Amino acid sequence: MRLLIIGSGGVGQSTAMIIKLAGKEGEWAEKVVVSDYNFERAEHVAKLCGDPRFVAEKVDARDAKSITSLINKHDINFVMNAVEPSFNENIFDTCFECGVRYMDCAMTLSKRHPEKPFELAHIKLGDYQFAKHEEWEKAGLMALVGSGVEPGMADVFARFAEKHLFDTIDEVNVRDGDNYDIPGHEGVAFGFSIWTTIEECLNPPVVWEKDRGWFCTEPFSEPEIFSFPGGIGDIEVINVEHEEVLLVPRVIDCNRVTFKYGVPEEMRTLLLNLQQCGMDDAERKIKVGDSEITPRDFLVKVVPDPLELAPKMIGQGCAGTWVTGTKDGMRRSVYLYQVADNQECYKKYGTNSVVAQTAFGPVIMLELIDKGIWDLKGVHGPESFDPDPFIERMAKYGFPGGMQEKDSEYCEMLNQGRLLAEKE
Amino acid sequence: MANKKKILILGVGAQGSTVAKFMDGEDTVSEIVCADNDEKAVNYLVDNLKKGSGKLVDANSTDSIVKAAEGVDLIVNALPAQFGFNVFDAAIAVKANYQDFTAPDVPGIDWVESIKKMYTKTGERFRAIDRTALIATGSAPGLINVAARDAMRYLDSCETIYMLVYEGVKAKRFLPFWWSVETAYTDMVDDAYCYENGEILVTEPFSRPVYEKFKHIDEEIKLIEHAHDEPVIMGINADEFFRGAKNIYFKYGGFGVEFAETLYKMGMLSREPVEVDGCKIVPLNLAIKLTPPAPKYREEIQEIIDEGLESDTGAMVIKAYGEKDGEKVLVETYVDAPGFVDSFEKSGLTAEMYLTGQGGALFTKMFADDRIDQKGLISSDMLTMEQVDYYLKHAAKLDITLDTEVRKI
Repeated sequence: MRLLIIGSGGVGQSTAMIIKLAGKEGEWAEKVVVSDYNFERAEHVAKLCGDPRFVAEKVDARDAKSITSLINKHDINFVMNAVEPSFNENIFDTCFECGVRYMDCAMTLSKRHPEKPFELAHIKLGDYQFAKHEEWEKAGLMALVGSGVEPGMADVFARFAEKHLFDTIDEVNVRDGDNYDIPGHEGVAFGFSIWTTIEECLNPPVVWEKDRGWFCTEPFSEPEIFSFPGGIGDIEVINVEHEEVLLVPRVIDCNRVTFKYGVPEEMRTLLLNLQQCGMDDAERKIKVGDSEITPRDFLVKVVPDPLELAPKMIGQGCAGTWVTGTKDGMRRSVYLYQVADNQECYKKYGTNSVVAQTAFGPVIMLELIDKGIWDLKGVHGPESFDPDPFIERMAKYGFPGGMQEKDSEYCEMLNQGRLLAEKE
Repeated sequence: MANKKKILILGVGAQGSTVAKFMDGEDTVSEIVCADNDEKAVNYLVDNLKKGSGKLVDANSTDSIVKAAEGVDLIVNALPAQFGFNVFDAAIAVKANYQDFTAPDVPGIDWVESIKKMYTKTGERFRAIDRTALIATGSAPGLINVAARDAMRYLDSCETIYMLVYEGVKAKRFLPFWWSVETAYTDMVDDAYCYENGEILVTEPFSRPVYEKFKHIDEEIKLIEHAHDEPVIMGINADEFFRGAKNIYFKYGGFGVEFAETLYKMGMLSREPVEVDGCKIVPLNLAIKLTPPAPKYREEIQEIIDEGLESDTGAMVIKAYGEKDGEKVLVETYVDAPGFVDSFEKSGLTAEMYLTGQGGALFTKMFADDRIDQKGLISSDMLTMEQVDYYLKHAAKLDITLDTEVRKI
């Protein structure tokens, strides 16, 4: 594969490093062009990899010509989009024009309903991309959308649960929580893209139900306590707008899909405050002195880059999919997860665990695509593919997964069986 | 009865207007000269006074202030702090008494040192003309300093004084501040001060939080370090007026503080320009631009009340720890005052404007009633106990009262 990574921030850097550190297993990557608007960042990542396969380039993700020229220059046959989703449409369309396969970690953006934003879904995440499915299919091209960790790995887990763990599925609930801390840091800390955090936390969260379809709620709605594995424990999670809710019901037969995330109370207040005074605004230009800027773009420049805080952050983050349904006539409840330790990730990849987790899924998927194991034309999410080869490779790439059998009739049956087995 | 006084009100914003209106009803006042660089605001105020006359003044020019101040007995400086020294000079030139709401500020000079010099050097100049300059006379500083002085009655010696101010009025609409957004943000990011172990220390804004459960509020409130005059002026006066207190803190909390803290921690209140796409922008300027201004006019305030308030509460509390008759005690004083809706019904003002304006007007009344007999420069925490009694007696008529409880600890 001759891969162009657009964006050398946390996810771009981690992707390159995971490929590099995979050694022989990563040799499917014949060439990796690491690009960024900030050439120095791209150069830094290429140098970190210290391998002639990795080269740095400057790119302007807003400019189709800039992307096309890199694709042509390096004879690229796959583009991984690792920039903020506001650039998605341009990159997605440019890949189509160039006849190159495409992948992103977050789908094209939603637009809230003009009259009932906290009730009705309007333009949903990925609508722009799925509307072009047939064009891509006819062209014999693959676009794999929502392919990070959440969305991405979480969708693979849902498909795995459907394939191996359940006869019928009731709910697919993606749950994300952490116990991150930055000792001595008193400022605001974002774990990943500030732009994206604002986007997904302040947009009306979307929920899917079989009878209602997609609908929206108030931000931070339906709080619940979820018990995370890996020593993280009980965390209050709340509804957040996320791609899995749009992707999973397209492929997996179930009754309800949600995404909930452990946004600390302090962060919720901060985000709501930003929204109240319009600092979250990504569209309106504000005149300050002689200059005009978009408040959110300005915030991204002012707030400490998550990469800068990565070395100081301690703790673990857990991403996973909680599936409920029936198995052998019994109610079953299972949480499939991956826990990453920040300090370990920083030592290995030079990035924080949130973005490293986001990057390992795409790397596995890229290998599967390169080897023809995952091969579908058109626009697809990760749940459209066989989950087994992905699950098999998680540990190999340094991100082993786990499965927690939660309280249920089925769990009780398993527990009883274990007791008897111990006796024997 | 005291001789009738002619008073110059410099600055006819919320505070100046409140003092002018209050003093307009006082028999001891013969004339109120209302001066500002905003002619419309001056005329509006004068039209609503019985004893008012108007003048235009450029506060950047001492001469301009002197012209407006000829023949007055007292200048009430209700201008921003940076004009304080011009007004001092003018008051001395026309041999008038002086009163302000906050200790004057000299840009580029260490604030603590400038206040120390004010007590001595500026004080000497006022003493030389047999007049008084009374500084820091709003609500905080001002009323709160009087309340802290009052608490000293219950102590033989004092160890620590906390002055806690909580702004708990929250409108339905997004409105973090009830006064100038620019002033609010710049105050919030300025260095704060505390008086600790007998020394004035600089502290970081929003640092050293304390959590207080006020008796009339269900939730525990977070209060933080905030740039204010009280720890500095009371620290300087600790031995003489506060029973040798070693620690004096001002802590501030409320929705506006919480909001500003999030912006501060994100770097959005920084004065350092940040370059975006080739343009340099000061984060603080964007924050000011995006934050809705406080309501000024009666109709705006009425509209907010009509929308309904999410909360109409607040607290001004002094906690003084010390000894009485050999036992350790806590003197806890709540300053009870009208809330947002009450203040508006009484005066057409917000609670913030009401307390600051009326708190200041009571000091003006004391001048007019010949109750300020010290000469030189004093601050609102340097009143005698007789003066404290007089102040509080008249404050009670405005429904501003103290509720003090002394507990053994």
